[in-house]
Formats: sequence, structure tokens, C-alpha cells
Amino acid sequence: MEVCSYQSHTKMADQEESKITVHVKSTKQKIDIDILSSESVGKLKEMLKEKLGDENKGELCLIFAGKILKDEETLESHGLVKTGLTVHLVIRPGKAQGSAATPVGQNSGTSTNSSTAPSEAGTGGGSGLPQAPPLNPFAMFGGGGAGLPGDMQGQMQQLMANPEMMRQILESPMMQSFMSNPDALQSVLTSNPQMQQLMERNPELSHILNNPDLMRQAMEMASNPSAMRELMRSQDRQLSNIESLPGGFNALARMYSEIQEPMMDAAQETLQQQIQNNPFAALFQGQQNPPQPDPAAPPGTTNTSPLPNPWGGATGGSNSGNQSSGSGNNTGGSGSGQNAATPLGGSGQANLLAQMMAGAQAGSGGASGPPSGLSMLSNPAYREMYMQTMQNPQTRQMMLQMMRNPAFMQQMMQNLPPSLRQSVGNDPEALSRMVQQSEHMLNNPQMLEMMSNPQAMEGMMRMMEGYQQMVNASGSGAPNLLGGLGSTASNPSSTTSGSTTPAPPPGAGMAQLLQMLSSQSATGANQSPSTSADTTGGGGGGGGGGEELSPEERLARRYRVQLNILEGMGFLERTANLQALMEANGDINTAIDKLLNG
Amino acid sequence: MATPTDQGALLLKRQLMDLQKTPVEGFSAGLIDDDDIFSWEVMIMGPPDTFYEGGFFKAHLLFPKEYPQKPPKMKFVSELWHPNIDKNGDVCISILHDPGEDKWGYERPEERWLPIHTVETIIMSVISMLADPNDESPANVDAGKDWRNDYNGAFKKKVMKCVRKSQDCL
Repeated sequence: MEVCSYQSHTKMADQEESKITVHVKSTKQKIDIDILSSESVGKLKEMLKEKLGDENKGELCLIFAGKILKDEETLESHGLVKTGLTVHLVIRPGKAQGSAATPVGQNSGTSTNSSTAPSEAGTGGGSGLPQAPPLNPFAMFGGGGAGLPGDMQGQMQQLMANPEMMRQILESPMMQSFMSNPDALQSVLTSNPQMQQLMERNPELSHILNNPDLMRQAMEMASNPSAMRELMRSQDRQLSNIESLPGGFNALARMYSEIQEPMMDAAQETLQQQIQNNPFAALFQGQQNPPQPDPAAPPGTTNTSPLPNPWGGATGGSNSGNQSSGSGNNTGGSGSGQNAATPLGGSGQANLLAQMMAGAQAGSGGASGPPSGLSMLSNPAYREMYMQTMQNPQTRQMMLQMMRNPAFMQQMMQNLPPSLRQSVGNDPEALSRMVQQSEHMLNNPQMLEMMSNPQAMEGMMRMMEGYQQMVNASGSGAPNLLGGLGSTASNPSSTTSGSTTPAPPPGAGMAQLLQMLSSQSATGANQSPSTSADTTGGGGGGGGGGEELSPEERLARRYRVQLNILEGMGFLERTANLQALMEANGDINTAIDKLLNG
Repeated sequence: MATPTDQGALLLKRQLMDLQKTPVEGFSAGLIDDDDIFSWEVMIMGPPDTFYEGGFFKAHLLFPKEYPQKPPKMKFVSELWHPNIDKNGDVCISILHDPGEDKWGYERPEERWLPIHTVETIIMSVISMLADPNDESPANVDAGKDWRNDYNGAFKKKVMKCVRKSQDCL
């Protein structure tokens, strides 16, 4: 066919017998073969076969420059005259070796590509942690920003870099129910005033955040590393596409200044003031560097990398700070990006929390709790992380905040195993007592010290296990026993405080446990008895703190932003508005449709 | 002064060199005729974990003189059963559609041709299209129907037939 022109070409360029090196590349390996360019393809295959240690010659298939090389043809007839050219090798599936040719496809949509290789490290395991790979699907959470307070970020990264754990957390029943519950998600999101402001200013954003479906999708996305990777890839691509459109760059810049910056400000302000912990803080730390379009790849010139990251390579560094600034930017770049990132950032922390709760649940709640909590705590690596988390002021504050949020607590309660719920959940007083108690606990430095003391923790774990056994064995009598037993077992000096505690009403197991813990912490740190009395007293006396909301009130809170918009549009009937919003799941356009047509 | 044609030719030459030096997984690209940089021949390996796995599909990529301002046409020479490849082998994919607004409002401008696309990005898109057809606008309506209604039956059978045929050409 087209062979002739090449041969004449070749003869002129090279002398007849020139020795060349051919790189043969299969999906798994790369083999170099030295061969004369006048040799036949068949000869090349034979040499290959020796190197591969394969017997069946018929299965090898070589492809070069879009053409399949046939055995009887010479290499030079295909233009294989220069050293260093690469030939594709495909081992055809069939006959003896079915699996040999099956390449290691990560996801079916894209074939593996050398330039995307780093992403493999991201999913490969914990090893790639320090140099977060450029396409690390989780880089967007991690931040990795320079020199910001809080090692939260480090923990998050650690968490993100461990897909196994991430999955474990995401798949835990607790997390699942949390994620599938828009109320809970929303309460987490909207508990930050800056975030609320931002949502008010940008109704589009609040649509996203208020749309449970989208949120859920984002969550699901997060739990699927390959999907995440895909998302990141295509987002980069889209960004670069947008950028190359006329006015596209301006749009991006606007996006950045209007949405991303306020969001970032919101995150940072809170971080600095530490007034109220912001679940998103860690998320945005990476975005301090302003976006820099890659000067090496202006649109319109050749670009050989398949799906370039238009931002990532700007400074050429491979440290995680850079990279996360790249991917962080994506977050602001498009609506979906924002959507993906925001709840994830929230969930990252919520994960930790859920994990902790799951631990407590499994420990104190009885047999029905998920075992992962305990096993996680008994794994040294996880325990260490847990400790770190406990020592982190941000986490504490977040826990506090969550506990103060009645809706969230209620949510939490519903997720507790039935046995525990029976004892605590049905009694609003017990619940609020518990909340106050734990608040107290978290504010108590001794308690925190204890929680971050591995030995104390171990003791507590053992106690919890023992308690669980006891519950299983003796049912409702357990709590009474526990007061004495737990404190004597782990700290003899606290016997007095344990025994002077008035006998709790049967069923207040959790509260009792918490009380005991706090008194233990006080005595354990050689505190005066009055402090311990204080702690327990606070627990007993504080009741009725929880705020009860009517369903309508709760709806009105959830859809506050949308309600305001609707009212601004002239829909003045609040009940009807609420009804429509509820039916539309918070989507304002659908709600307006309903109001107009219904 | 480089004329538009020169610019396109330069771009394509560079891409050809790059692709031969550092080939990309999943396909191999060269010229149909070594004197014509605007006509490419591409061998696409059926993506793994799809029915197309194991197949070697030959396609031609014909660039207009206006490249990179205008997209190339892509046509499979090998027979291929796929919702987005019509029965003549022409590939129907949004990034190969002329830039600008879609008169039917299907595609957003950024989904259509952009000068930043290269042979590699085009082929990558096609490979991912093989793995994941877009059944909203099938170019091969019958394949689209099969894909939707009888994925593991008729669709698989016809694809496998193409795969076998493509292997026979080796």
C-alpha cells in the first residue's frame, strides 16, 4: 500500500544495515530490543518472545503508527528506522493465556495513561501520603495550606490518604444514615454564620447546598475514589475549556472573587477567631495561593498531555500545597465542583465525629452497635489518630457545636441502637442532661487530658467492654453496678465519689457513664472533691436546656433563605410557601412552579 | 509569516513526533500517507472491561486545512457496532462538532470543538465513548436500541462479531 514511499525514503536516509533500538510497550511492561531495521517483524516477535518467556508467538501483536505489523514485513517498511521509537505490544487474549492480555484498567472509561499514573499512588495505599499526587481525588479536602493553625488538616490528609479507612467510615451505618439525611447535612452546613451569609448572597449556591439529591451524589462520589478521580479530571478539562472561551477567563476570575473568596474568608475568619468551629476550615486552607494559569500551556498551542490541569503546574512544584491550590480552585470553578467539595469538607470532620460516636455506641450501647468503632479504637494507628483528634481544639469545638444543636442531637439519637435509645432517647430530660454533661466534659481540661492519655483511654475502653458484657448479661441492673465498679477498677481513689453519687434511675445508663467519666477525670488529676461534686452536680441539675421546635418551625429554619426569596417575590403565604418548599425539597424553582400552578 | 495551514501542519507534525516517541496507552497513531500530515491513521485498542476489549479498530482522522480552528472528521475503517458511530463508521461525538452554538440546543459550546484538542485528546474521548456511549443522540439508532434494551444480548453479540473481525485482519 503506502509502503513504497517509505522504502525510498529510508534508503536515502540511512545506509542499508542500521541497528536500532525498539521500545516495545505493553500494558504491563516496556522491553527494549536491539535489532536491524532490515529485519522482519516476525524476527522482532521472536526476540520479544524470548524476553517475555512466552511460547505462543501467534498471540503477539505489534502496532506502530496506527498500523498492525505483519510478520513478513520488514521494520523499515514501517518507518522503524530510527532508534528510540516505540511499538505497542498487545498480547491477544485466547487459547492458553486468557488473563495475560487483560490490562490493569482502573476504570473502564479511560485507558491507563502514563501522565495520569500518579493517581494510582493515591489509591494504592498509604504510601503516597507525603507527596500528595496531583490528581489525588481527595486533595481538595486536605488543604495542605502553608502554616495555618491546627493539625486538623494533617489528620484529614492522613484520613484521605487512607482510602480503606475512608471507605470504612463512609460505609459505616452511622455515616450512611447521616449522609442520606438532608436535615443532618444541612444543619452541619448552615451552622456556620458566614456560610449562611454566603448562601444568602449566592442563591445558586444555596440551591446546591439545599438540594439533597446533589448532596447525596457528592457524598457518593466521595466514597468512590475512581469516580472522584474522574470528576477531578474532567473538571480540570472543563476549566481549561472555559478558560479558552472568549471571556471565559474573566468568568472564572469573577467566580473566584464572588464565591470562592467569600467562602474562603468565611472559613478563615472563623478559624482565626475560633469563636465557633467551622467544619470547612480545613477544606479551604489550600486556597491561599491565587490561581495561576499555566504559562507553559496557553490555549491554542499543542498540548500533549491528555487532560491537563490548567492550574496545578503553575509553580511546577510537587508539594501538596501547590497541588491543593490547584484543585481547590476547581472547587470554585464550577457549581458542581463547589457542591462536591463543600459537603465533603464537612463530612470529613463529621466522619471523625461519626467514627467517635460509633466507638462510643459500640462500647456502651450493646451488641447491636457497629463493631468498627471498637476495633478501630483498638487498632493502634487509629487510636493515635483518635487521640490527635481529641487533642485538637477544633474538633472539640465542633463536637460542642453539634451537641448544642438540638436537631442534630436528635438525629444522632435516632441512629443509636434501640437499647440505648430506649434508655436515653425517649427521655428528653435525660438527653439534654447528657448533652450538658458532655459539654462540660469537653470543656474540662482534665477530661480532655484523660481522653488523650492512652492508658486512660484503654481503661475506658475496657470499662466500656465490661459494661457491654454486663448489659448483655444482666440487663437494666447494670448501670447501678457500674458506678462503683468502674471507678474502683480503674481508680481506687475515686471510690468515694463513685459511691456517693445518688443511685441513678434505672435506664439512665449513658448519663451515668458520662458522669462517672467526668468525676473520674477530676479525681484522676488529683482535683479537690468539690470539683468533682461540681461536675456531677452540673449533670444532675441541668435539665430542659434543649429547645423543642415544631415541625413547621424547623422547616422554616431549614428553608429560611428560600422563604425570604419567595417573600421577596411576593409570595406572602408562609404556610403555602413552606409546603411548596417541602414538596420541592428546597428547590426554589420547583417551589415557585408549585405555588403558581397548585 | 505562518499561514493557517502551516500552523496546523506544524501542530500535527509535533503531535506525530510526540506520539511516536512517547505513545499513549490504548491507541497508536500514524499517517495514512507519509506526505500528507492532515490524514492520520489510528489504531484503537478496544478498552479493557468492555465488550470491545481485544479488538483493534482502525480509524482515519482527516484534518481540515483550518485545523486547529476546525475539527477533524473521524471515521472508523473497521466495522464497529456502537450507538455513536454510524453505519458508515463516522464518529459522532460532540467535541468533533464545529465550534459555536448547537442549533438543536443539545450541546453546550464548551462540549464542542475547541482548538486545544489534539489527536491524543480526541482519541481519548473516543475511547471513553466506546466504554460509555452517549445514548441521547445515537448516530446508529439500531445500536442505540440494542445498547439500551438488550445490552448483554444482541448488543454484545454484534460487538463481539466486530472484535473478531478486527482480529482477523492481523
